[in-house]
Amino acid sequence: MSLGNGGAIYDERVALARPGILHSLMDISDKMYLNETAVPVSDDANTAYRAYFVQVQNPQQFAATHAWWSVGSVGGGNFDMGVYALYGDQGLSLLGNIGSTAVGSTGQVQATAFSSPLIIPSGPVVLAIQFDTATTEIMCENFEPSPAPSWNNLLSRLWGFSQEDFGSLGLPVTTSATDPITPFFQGPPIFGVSNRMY
Amino acid sequence: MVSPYEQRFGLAGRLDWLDAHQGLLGLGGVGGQYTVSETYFGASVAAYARVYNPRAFVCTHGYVFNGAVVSGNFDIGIYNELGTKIIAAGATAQSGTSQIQWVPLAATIPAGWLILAFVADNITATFATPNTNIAHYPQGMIEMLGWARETAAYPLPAALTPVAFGAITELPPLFGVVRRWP
Repeated sequence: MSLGNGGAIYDERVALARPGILHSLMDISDKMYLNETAVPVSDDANTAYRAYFVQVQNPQQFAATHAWWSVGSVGGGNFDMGVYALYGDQGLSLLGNIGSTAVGSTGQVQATAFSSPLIIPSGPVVLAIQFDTATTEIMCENFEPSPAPSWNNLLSRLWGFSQEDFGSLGLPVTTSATDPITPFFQGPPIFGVSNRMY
Repeated sequence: MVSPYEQRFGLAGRLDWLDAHQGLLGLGGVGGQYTVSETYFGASVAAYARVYNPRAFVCTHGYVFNGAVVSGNFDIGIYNELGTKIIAAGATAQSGTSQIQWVPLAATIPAGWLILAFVADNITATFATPNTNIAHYPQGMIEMLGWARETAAYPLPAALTPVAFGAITELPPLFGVVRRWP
């Protein structure tokens, strides 16, 4: 886009005000505030080897140094995180992942470095997280006041979340995430990738 | 024309303005509110916030939201993506309770990735901070949202040596730089 201003043309780049960060809540913040968020809640992964996906729009290419997630109240087991390119109706193609990693301390954000900085292209991409247990918990956004809108398979799908079951830990090179089915997390799970400053 | 992304993340109609907390509405509880007075989180500990500037502009002022108690001095500035200082105000006495303090800061701010920086030399000074429920900021979150810190950084150094915040109980103040008119 460009803006004419007294003859001068400015090339206004479409970019995030907070560069170098993609996370599971970034494209739904306005919708969340319509529903008023409460303190995040810890919720379990529900099914071993199930992977959760969220589509986000990356306005500006950058190099991600870390994948991160907000560890819930119950740890244990291992997880994998990655980023997929989204190719129309051809499914998801893995750009990079961190590989099997032991779940860290509960109640903290666990940040794991990519083996080398992962170039995230501009445009639609899909963030993914997978656990090898059903009991590991992740922090999720929450809604209030009660009665809260139903964060169910329909709303989560609308907000770009989906899931797929696998037989082992390790995000596949290619996949097509199926529609979310109940039960799903109590609210949007909190995870993302970032270019860390140090 | 401002893009929908810039509108969503706080730049709508407000080019030539960089705020350390811009783009954080997506995480952190109730947005658009702030706590009027919190003590600074660490004496001479600088807070660094990476932001995106969509177009170059001539900055006229830095600003910070003071709390109910003023004390000591602070410094405010801006660095390029590589961590080299573009400009800083230098030692500035905190003045004016419960109001915005403006600090003259004249420089051309380039477009692209930048780092806003703020440091107070004491923990008696109070500032307004985002009223973000701290439960949304478990240890490790703030670094993933483009923040870092540096100890013994008053006044602001010529080049950054950022490190992790670690566990936090208070968020950095509301501060930024702007081309103010009038």
